[in-house]
Amino acid sequence: MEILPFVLLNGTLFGMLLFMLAAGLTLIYGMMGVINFAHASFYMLGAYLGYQVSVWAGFWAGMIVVPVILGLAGVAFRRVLISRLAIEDQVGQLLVTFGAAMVITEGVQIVWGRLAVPYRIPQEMTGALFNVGGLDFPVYRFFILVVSVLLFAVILLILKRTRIGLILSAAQSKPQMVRAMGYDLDLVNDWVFAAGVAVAGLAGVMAGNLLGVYPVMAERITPLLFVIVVVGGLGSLNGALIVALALGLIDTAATTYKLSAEPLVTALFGAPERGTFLADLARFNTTSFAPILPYLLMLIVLLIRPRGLFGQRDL
Amino acid sequence: MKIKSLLALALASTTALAAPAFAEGTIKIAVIEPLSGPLAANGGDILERFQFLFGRVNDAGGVLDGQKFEVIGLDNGWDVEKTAQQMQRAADEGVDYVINGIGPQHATAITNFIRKHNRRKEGEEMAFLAHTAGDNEITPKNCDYYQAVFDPTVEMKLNALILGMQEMGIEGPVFTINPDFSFGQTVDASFKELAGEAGIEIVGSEMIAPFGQVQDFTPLVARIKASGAKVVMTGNFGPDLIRLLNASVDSGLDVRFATLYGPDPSTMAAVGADKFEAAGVIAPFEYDENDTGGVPVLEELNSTYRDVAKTSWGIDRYRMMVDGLVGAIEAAGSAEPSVAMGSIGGVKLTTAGGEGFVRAEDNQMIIPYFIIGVDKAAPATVLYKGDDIGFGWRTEKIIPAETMALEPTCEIEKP
Repeated sequence: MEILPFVLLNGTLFGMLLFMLAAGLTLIYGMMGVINFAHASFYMLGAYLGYQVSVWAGFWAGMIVVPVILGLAGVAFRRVLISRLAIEDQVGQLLVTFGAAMVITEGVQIVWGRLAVPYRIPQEMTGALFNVGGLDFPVYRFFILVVSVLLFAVILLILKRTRIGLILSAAQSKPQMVRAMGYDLDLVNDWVFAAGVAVAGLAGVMAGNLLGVYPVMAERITPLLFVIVVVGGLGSLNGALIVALALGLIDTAATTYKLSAEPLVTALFGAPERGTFLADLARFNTTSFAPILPYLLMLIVLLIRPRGLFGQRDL
Repeated sequence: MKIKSLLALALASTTALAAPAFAEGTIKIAVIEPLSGPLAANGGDILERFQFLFGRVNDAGGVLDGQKFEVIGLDNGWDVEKTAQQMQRAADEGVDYVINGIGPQHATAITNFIRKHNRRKEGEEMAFLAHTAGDNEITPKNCDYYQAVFDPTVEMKLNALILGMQEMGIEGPVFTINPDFSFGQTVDASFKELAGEAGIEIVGSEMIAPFGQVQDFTPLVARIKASGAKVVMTGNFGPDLIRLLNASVDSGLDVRFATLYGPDPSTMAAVGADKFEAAGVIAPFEYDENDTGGVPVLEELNSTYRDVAKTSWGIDRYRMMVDGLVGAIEAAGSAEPSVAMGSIGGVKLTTAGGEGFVRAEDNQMIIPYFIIGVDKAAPATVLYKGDDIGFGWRTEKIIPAETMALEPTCEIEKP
């Protein structure tokens, strides 16, 4: 039981990391109706650039510079590629962003090679912040947790309290009206894309040295992102937060407290012989199953409530 | 109209250029590995090393009466279907020896192809030289006259690891973590069996979804802590190993890591010297650059390869394979696989740890094996394509060849 706080903290951290990634994706879809398959690629770019900048100027420089670079890249991305497509052309968006994702993946390999790059945690933050049940919770993980919570608060504040936030929210449901009121919708969309991509990049800078920076990292995390965005509801920031946290905690808990089907199988059918179907059934446990849980959740949600928990647009 | 035909001509000529054609009279070697996709770096590295090694043999006059080797790389993109296609291509091009090792599923595809091919095309036989032992499909289960494995089996490596642990005074208890696919399952089952025989206690075990799917390893770290294990045995590699080591060291977990893939430059670079040392990583391996046993050719290779490829020699079994093949050809007096493969069993090999050989019963290479540990002050640090990783390895124990040789579990039928 002493490991429970450790598990909860790490599950929360992991969930917040997922949230940082999903936030940009869901906002972009909510505001602009654009499905950005390359979103995780921007996360990966953020990680690689974070590594490179940290080599030249240190980690903190990367925290500041990389989101800015990626924000600009996001704007360029939107203006050059996305704006040429009609809003309703979802297939086109999928194809273009999927192609962009492939280009970014190859590009990253050309520049940095195919193996993982040695992105390390900054010296100032190595070491434990506190000890929980015999295990250390590193300073760096706490830092990520704090930054991601702050980020959520900042985004929420901007959306609800500032003028630009209100314009963005309005543009989500009534874009023509917003344009009619004299606001430059193009600029508004630029800001949305820039912000979404910048946040993904920031997540990359912070998580890269924790999770490893290598060319297929984007591919691996894209399905998970879409689960969060779909289940939480496309366009809903709250939804993304809740689902991301839920997934982080469920994944962590399922792996930590391994529930196996073996006792049940043995109770019902007797101890299974190696190599039989029953033996395979008995091997079924929450740890191996944990990576699949998100997709199962998405399947269920899509069947029962396609617009997600808090979404306003149907898929 | 004109532009279209020009374009068509250009396209046709590029496809013609893309097809490597073998020269006449050479001994044809095909290295079938992923040369594109996520494993391209590994496949490319292997191809380079074999081209380097066979190049040296050619420069020294070739084999027999001056016959030279010719090496081409065939990309399988780590797709078993493509491996099968490339095997057909190899057969069409008259390839004599196929080399492969990344991914046991490919070895199986190659083995199956060669069996059928050799039965049908007498006089055009091909042989398969495997540079890595994956699961148990090649040997110990399926040995063949036209096959030789130049890597100790998974069981032999684990046996060496356990012997090394015992001699180093590392007692356990052990928590095993392995990737949930054929290779990882073999490692897990073999280790448990061998550990049981050696009286090592296993207090926990986990199979994880492989290849970077598990993002957060801290729950596993919590479980390891709760189990009271002092040693973690893992066959994981790549991002999984990177994350496992990071999570473990960051959490201050007091365990040693007995790995199979610790000495991978990418993992070493990503995790770094301090964490590797803190994790007390050890691994069974065939070579330690810092301990060549005074063998002159190894000293020479250590420095030459650094100059030529800006990479540590670090891996030695490919050289043993080339030496083994050359030895077999010289002994048989012919480079034809149907003849030479008859002499590959019994070939003696020079290694840094002493003499090794290819066992005749199953064409399995038996060599002395090293248990290596992290050394931040190693004189030869690992170098990879110009990047100095910053630390190296040191030999903790050498397991002699006779001890490495476990009972063969299949016997070759001479054709």
